[in-house]
Amino acid sequence: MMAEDFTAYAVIAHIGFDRPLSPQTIQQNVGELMSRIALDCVGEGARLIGHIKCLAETLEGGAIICSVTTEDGRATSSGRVPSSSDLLDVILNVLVYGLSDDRIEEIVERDIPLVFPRATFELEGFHHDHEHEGHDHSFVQFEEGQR
Amino acid sequence: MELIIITGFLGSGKTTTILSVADQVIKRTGKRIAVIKNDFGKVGIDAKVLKRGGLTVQEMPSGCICCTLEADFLETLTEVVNTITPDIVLVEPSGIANPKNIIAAMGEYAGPPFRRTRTMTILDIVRFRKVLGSFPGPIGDQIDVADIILVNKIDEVGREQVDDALSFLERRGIAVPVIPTSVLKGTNLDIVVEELVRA
Repeated sequence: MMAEDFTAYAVIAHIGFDRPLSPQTIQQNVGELMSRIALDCVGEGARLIGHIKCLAETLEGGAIICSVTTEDGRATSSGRVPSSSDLLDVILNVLVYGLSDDRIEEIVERDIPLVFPRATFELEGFHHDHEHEGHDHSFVQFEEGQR
Repeated sequence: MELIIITGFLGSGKTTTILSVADQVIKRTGKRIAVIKNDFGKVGIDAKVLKRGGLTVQEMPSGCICCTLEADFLETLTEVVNTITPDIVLVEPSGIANPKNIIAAMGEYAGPPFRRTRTMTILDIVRFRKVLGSFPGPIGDQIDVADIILVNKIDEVGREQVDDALSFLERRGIAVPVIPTSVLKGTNLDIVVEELVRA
């Protein structure tokens, strides 16, 4: 198994907006979020991106699947959400080599408000270390400006 | 009943390939397909994506079926075979799995027998050299156990890079079908389906 210095970071980001965002804006921002996370992982020392991917869903139905595999942060996405929404759940998997869970979480916490300004968000985390031991079911909750 | 292991490094296009070809295989053959999806992370995405695509999926999150989840895999496989009674079981291990271990684990499988077991390996041509350089042994194993190899994402690179990978496979003595594809764009998917439905 190719697990040396491998980190599988998984989290659900529950993101609330101050007003409904259009499907196009949601699609664009989800792609931007994935690109930023990938670029920041590389910038902070990840030696190899395995797969950075997400499934973003709104209460109104539909889903956007977005993925980054290269160090240039280029995101490919498929799917769509059908209508404007003020809530978005993003299941995020960051599978990289050479970066710890904690560093990845810092990146995610930093990038969400950059991409979704004026949003509030909670991270529901389920981390898995590369030793196959010790699941960390931490629950991180804060609002922008309260950190 | 047939078992097909879909292997390949993280992000190579395993889930997209299953989504793209399963429908066509069902239409061509009328066969019932079940998917066993192993995600390394606690909150998997791919199984949800496959289910959204209308496939019957048994999820195995939180570990790797090529090592720590070997026993769970055999139990899951037996359960899928007995309850869903599929004609084809597609197994998608996590992208860091070594398929050799899965094939070895099948030696302990005691459920209804499979007529044939095949492995389809998907190589991400964009990162092929980098990933191979990082993990020559495991990626080499993925290549060596393959019955079909997809050289995927050819739409994202130049002809030279594709030729480089094809030459590498030739020098390695690979004699199985090698299909250059862009699964996302649908390039050569008909050839992949043809290989999969081949009796």
